[in-house]
Amino acid sequence: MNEIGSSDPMVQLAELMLDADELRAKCDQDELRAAQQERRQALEKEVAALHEAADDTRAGAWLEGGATALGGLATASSQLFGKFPKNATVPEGGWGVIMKSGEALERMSAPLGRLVGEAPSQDDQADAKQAEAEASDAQTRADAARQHLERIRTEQDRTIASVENIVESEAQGNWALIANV
Amino acid sequence: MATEALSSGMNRAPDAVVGDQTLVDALASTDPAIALLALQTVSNQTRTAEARQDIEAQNRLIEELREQMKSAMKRAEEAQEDAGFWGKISDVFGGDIASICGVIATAAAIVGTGGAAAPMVLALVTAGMSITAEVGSRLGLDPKVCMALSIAGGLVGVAGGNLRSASDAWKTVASVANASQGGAVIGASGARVIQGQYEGDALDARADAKHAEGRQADHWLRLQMAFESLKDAARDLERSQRTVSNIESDKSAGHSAIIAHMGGAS
Repeated sequence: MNEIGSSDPMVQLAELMLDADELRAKCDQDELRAAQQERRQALEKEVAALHEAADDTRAGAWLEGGATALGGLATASSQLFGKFPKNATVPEGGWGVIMKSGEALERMSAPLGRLVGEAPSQDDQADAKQAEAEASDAQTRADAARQHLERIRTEQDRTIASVENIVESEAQGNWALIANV
Repeated sequence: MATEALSSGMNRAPDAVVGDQTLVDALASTDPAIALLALQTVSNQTRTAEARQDIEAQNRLIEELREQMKSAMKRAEEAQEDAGFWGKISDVFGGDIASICGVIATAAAIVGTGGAAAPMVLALVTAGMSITAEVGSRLGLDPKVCMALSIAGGLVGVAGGNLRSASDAWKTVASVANASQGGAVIGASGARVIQGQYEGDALDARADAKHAEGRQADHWLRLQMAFESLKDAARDLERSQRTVSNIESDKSAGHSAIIAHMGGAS
């Protein structure tokens, strides 16, 4: 706050204006800091969501690939080692069960991969997009606060220049009076 | 004059010695306004030097982060390309090769069982049609040609069903084809895992690029703040100079007025 304490009403008015400007500038600085903090947090959230999406994608790929591989292995093993009765396409005994299980696993692998990998990954990417939008909003707020702050500084300069002119005029008047006494 | 000397001292290089002779003289001045201006100039020089150092440091960091961002984006692009490549491999193994093996196995089973497995003819046609759809869409072949090929394949399968004498050999062919299909599926699954790894790497690289972008924005902010600090310092100095100039001017006007008054009195 200003501590000029002049008895001149114009200077007092200017002082009040400067005080008000100073308060507004402080509010803008707080807003700027808060918006920057918010932007930083939103960006951190976005980065974390993208890393989670990456982990989900990998987990889904491993599950899908693992299930498919296991299914393929079961099918191939049953074909190679199983005993086929006459006119049958499925080996007898345990190999038959293994072959059918392998086929089922192969069919299930893609939906499993989507369930464990693709769907959560898409969710995470949607979260990342939302966080990106939040960061963008915060950035806009920060830019607005900065511009407002700049405007206040210019206004303060103008007010100070006006006060200086007033004081200068008064001083010149006083000296003129002294000279003429 | 001391004021002019101070003004020239204010615009020195950032590494200028703060306590140089001009400022020391000004600080020792008996005129309080000049001494105050000298004090403010010293403080201003320190602020300016700090701001300039900060600007240089932020600039360097921004450059580093720009490089990091570029490299992360490049990594993401490469990982995406690799994922695409392994995805195609996976499709070829799991789609085309496995389907062809399946068709061969089905045809061989029909022949091997002496045509008894009539429903398999349908399976053969279905498999053939699925291949037609896949291969046709990938290679841009005329779907009619592919359809004709698949129907012909089905007919061959039916005809093969009458070759009872060769049933054991056909059964072996069917088993080998089925095993090959399993092998192709295993290959496809391996390629799918690698594809997933690369997709994950691409996402991680994108996250790294985002992180670098965020840090770059922070340093941009600090750079702007340093610029504002420089601007503030220049503004404060200008105000101080104006104030001291006004004080000196007032003093001079006062002296003139007193002299004029004395002249008038005498």
